[in-house]
Amino acid sequence: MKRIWNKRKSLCLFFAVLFCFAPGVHGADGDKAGEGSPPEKPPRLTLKKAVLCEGLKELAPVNETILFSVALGGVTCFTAFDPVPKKTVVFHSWFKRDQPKKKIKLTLKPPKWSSFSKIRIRNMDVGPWRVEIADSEGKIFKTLRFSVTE
Amino acid sequence: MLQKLLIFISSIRWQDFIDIAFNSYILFRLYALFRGTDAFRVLVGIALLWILQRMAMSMGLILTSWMMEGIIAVAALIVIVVFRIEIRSVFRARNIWAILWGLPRKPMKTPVEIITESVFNLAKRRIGALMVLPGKEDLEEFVQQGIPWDGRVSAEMIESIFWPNNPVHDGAAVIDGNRVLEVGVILPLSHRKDLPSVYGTRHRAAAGLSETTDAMVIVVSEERGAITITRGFDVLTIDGKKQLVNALREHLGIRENQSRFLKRRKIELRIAALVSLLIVSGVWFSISRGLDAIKTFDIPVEYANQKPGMELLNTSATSVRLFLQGSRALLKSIRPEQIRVKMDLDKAVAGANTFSITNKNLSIPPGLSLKEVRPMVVDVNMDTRIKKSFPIQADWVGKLSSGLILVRAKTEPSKVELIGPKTILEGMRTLYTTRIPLNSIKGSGKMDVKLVIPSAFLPVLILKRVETGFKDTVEVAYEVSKRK
Repeated sequence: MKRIWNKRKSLCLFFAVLFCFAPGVHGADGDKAGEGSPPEKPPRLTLKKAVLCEGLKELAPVNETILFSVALGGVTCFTAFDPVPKKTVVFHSWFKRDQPKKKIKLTLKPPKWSSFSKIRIRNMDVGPWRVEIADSEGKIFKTLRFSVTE
Repeated sequence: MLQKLLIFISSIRWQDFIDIAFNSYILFRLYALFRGTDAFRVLVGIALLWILQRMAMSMGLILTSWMMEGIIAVAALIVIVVFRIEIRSVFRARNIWAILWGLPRKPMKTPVEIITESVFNLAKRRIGALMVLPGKEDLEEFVQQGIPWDGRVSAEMIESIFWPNNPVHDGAAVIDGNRVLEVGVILPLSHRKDLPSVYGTRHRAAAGLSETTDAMVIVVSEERGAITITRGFDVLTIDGKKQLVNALREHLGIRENQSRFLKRRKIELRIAALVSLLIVSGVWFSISRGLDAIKTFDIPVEYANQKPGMELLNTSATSVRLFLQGSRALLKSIRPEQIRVKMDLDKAVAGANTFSITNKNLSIPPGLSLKEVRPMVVDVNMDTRIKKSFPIQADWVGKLSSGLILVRAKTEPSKVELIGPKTILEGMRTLYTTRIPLNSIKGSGKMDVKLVIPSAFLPVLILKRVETGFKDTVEVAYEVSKRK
């Protein structure tokens, strides 16, 4: 069982890394974001977009929804951060009925970064779920709620 | 032994004294009001039957006990029907004070000597006469056509009533106390065969009334000038004035030595009061202090008086089994609603608490004692009360049409606030709706759905829900689009 989870975790990380190096996911002009702006406030890590989707196509979320049939096989949580001031990590914590099921660590790199995590769903996973997107200190950016159905 | 006696005396409450005194007085009053009547004698008979029935029951004589019980039930009804006149006469014409306190006595003294003198005068002159002296029974049902007279008794009046030219001389005169109540009264005739042939209608009428009532009737024969009295089934010829006076006094309950009589009566009443007290004490003791039986009761435990800000989380027992000891009769009559087990939580602290169940926690009817309680202790988990806000999440079930996709859903309100035990509320993160079936959804819309409160916390949360005015229904708005 543990091996399966580790395998799944590795798979998610692999996707995340692959996604980060793909062209277009993080813009080439990312470093220019703060150019010319007064240095009054240090930029903060900001969650620009967070959605649940059935999958990714050309590294963009496909079929944004809050309902996932077991037949679909998995749930994808797509998050885009802009700006990303420095290299950091965020966590996607998955819960089924308040019970923690999975916590996936994603690395973000400046100037902006998009990343995703995916979990597999089976018949035993039917029910209400949520995924919390939090920073390394545990501050929750957003909670996405969804249901796994038959 | 002495110690036991002292313990027993100290266990008697002031309410018990009142209980015994009140019922003793009622019994004594019943005796004072009904003594000397047939109803009283029958009541004594019924009481003896009841004692026999109890003895038969304790000896295990089932059939005898049932039979006695039946006889008592029927006899009680019969007493009311048969002795209704006696019962009525006891309560009629008496004020409430007389019923509660006064002693029964003849209201007016009958002038025995005047009546005797008149009777002998009438006999001497061969004037027929019929005089009725009622006993305790009401004669109304047995006599007819009486003419109200209501005159004070005097020799002249009696003689004039029976004077041959008087239109009412043929009927009977009813004398009660010192008054002639009615004249010209028609009495029921006796059908006895053993009456002497010389007795005419007047004698048969006298015998007829005395046979059916407790009245005494005096007859003066017109033909022979003989004086006869009838009482019950006795017919007695009177030879001299003294004999008549004695007969009248005996009938009317007039004693020659009144002070001696009063003294005797006083002693009799005191004995009656003492006997009443002893009977009631005996009954009270057998009912309330008899420890011959044990009965079990399952009683729900009431938890109350928790400190403000404290919440009862759970308990090891919602009900306890009490083994109560007392008399069989008392235990039989007790209903579980009359027993309470109350745990005072004013000393309870947050966390686990253990309380012993003692007599202080019990409210049981007097006369019963606690033999055993199971469990002897109850564990009570208390917690501090907090307020927490919960997001609401829709719980979708079923299958959405394959061509559709549920893009988003929003609940209104999006959050609810609950007040409850810290341990429970801290472990909760989300409140879910009841299951929302997807099969029927064809497009975007709204619906009202109920929230699911976790069953383990239901009592507490419902209480808080009421306190905070929280509604358990939310509106879910959902947006559906076609799958691309």
